[in-house]
Amino acid sequence: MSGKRIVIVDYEMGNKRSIINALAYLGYRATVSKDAQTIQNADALILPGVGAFKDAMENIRRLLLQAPLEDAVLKKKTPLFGICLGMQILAQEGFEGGKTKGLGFINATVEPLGSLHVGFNAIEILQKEPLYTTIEEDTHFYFDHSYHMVAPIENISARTLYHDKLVCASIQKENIFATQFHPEKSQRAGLKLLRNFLNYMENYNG
Amino acid sequence: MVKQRVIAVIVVKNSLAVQSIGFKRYLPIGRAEIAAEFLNEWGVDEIVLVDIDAMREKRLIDLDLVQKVAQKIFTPLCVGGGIRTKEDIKKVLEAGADKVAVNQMLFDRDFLQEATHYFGKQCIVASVDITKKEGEYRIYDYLSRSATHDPFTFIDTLDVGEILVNVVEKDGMKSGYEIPLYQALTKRTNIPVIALGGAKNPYDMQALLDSVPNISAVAAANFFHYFEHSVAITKAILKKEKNRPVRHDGLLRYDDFDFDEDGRLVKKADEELEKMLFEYHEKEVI
Repeated sequence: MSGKRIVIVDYEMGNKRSIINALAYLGYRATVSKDAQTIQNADALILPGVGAFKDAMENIRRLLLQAPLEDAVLKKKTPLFGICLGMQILAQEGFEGGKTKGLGFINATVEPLGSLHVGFNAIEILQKEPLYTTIEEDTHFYFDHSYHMVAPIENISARTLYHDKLVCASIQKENIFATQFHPEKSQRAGLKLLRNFLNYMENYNG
Repeated sequence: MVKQRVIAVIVVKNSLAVQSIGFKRYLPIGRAEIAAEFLNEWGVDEIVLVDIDAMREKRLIDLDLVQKVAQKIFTPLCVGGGIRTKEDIKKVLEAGADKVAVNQMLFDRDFLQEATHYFGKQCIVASVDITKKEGEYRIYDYLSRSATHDPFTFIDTLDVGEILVNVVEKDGMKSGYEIPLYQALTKRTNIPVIALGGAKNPYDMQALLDSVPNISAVAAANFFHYFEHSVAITKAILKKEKNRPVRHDGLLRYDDFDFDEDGRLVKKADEELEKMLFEYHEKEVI
C-alpha cells in the first residue's frame, strides 16, 4: 500500500464506503475525516457527495471546513478530486434549495437540468491529461443527478449529451479535479480514471 | 445520450437469494453477495437488493448483507426491505447502498417528502407492485394482499427519483413484460421508470426496449440467475441487428457469437474453435 495520505472529506453527506472500496482495490488506504489538521496534511483530498447543494454548504460551514479546504486546495495546492455533489459545491453558487454560495474554487454556477439524469452515458473528452489518458472517447460513466455545473470551457475536461444539452461531465483547474459522474460506480472505466488521478497525485510536486 | 440500464434484482428471503414465482413460491439460488459479484463481472448496470420478509417481520434488511454485497461491486446498488424511518435509510446508505427502494412507506407521503428532502431525490426509488384485476391495473399491497389504488393517479403525486414497477402476474412466469402498462406509465410521468417481471429470454427485453422507448431501465430477477454470463449475453443480443441505447463495454463480450431463438449460445464451427485454442489474452491490470 502507498504511504500517501488520502483524505475523504467528511461533511456528513455522500457514500464514502464505495470510494474507500475503489481506492482499496487500487492499492490505497483512505481516511475519512472532518478534522482541519488532517485535511491540511493530506497528500490528496476527495470530496464525495450526494444530496442537495444547500444542505452540503450548510454542513461545510457548520463543521468549519471551508477554511481548511481553502488552505489545502488554494494555498498548499493539494490535489483535490470532487465527485457528483462534491464537484458541484466547488462552484461560486448553486440554485438547489434556493440560491446558495458554494466554495467558489471554480468560476461556475449550478443549475437545474429539468429532470433526473440517471444511468450510464458516454463522454466527449476535451482535455485528455491527466484523467483521461488511458480512457477512450465515448467511454460510459454512471450519472445520477438533476442539477449540473455551468463552467468556463477552459475548465471542462469532458462533456456528455443529455437530451439535446451538452452537460459538463468533469472539470479541471490546476490541482482541482472533479467529475459529475461516479467513478466508483462506473466499473472498469471509473477505476481507470481514479488510477489516473492517483498517478497524478504520486507524481505531484506541489 | 443516456443509455437504458440493464438491472439485476436479487431477491432475498431468509438470508438467501431466491427465485420468486407469482409472489408466492420461492426457490433458493444461493448467497446474495456471490450473485452480486458475478453480475458485476458480467457487466450489469445496476443491482437492486431486496429483502422481501423484512417489512413483514418488522425489521430492516440485514446491514451486514448489504455491506457484503456493496463490497463486491463497483456498480450502483439500490437496497430495499423494511425501510420505515429516516434512520433506516441512513443505516442502509452507510452500509454501502446508493439508493433505497421504498414500498410500504409509499403510502406515507409525509415520510417520502422528508426522505427526498434529506437524502436527495436520487436516493429514493419507489418500488411499486402492480396487479391486473378485472382488466384494470391496481397497486398491489403484498402485506394486506389488497389491490385498491389506481397506479396512474398514485404516481401523479409521487415525487421520487425513480419508480421500479413489478407486475405480480408476471413474476417468474416467463411470459414477457407487461408492455402496455409501461407504455402508459412512461407517457404519464417524467420520473424514470424501471420495468420488472416476465423475462424469459433477452428477446423479451428487446421487445420491451423497442415498444417502450422512454423506459429508463429493464430489470429482471430470476432470469439473470438462469445461466452463466447472463448479463453479457443479454447485452450482446440487445445490441445485435439494432444498435439499441444500452451500454455494452467490458471485457466479457459475446459480439461475434450467434444465438438461437431462445437466446442460447450456438456452438461455433470446429475450425473457429481450433483457432481459439491457443489465443493469448493479457490480463488487464488497472
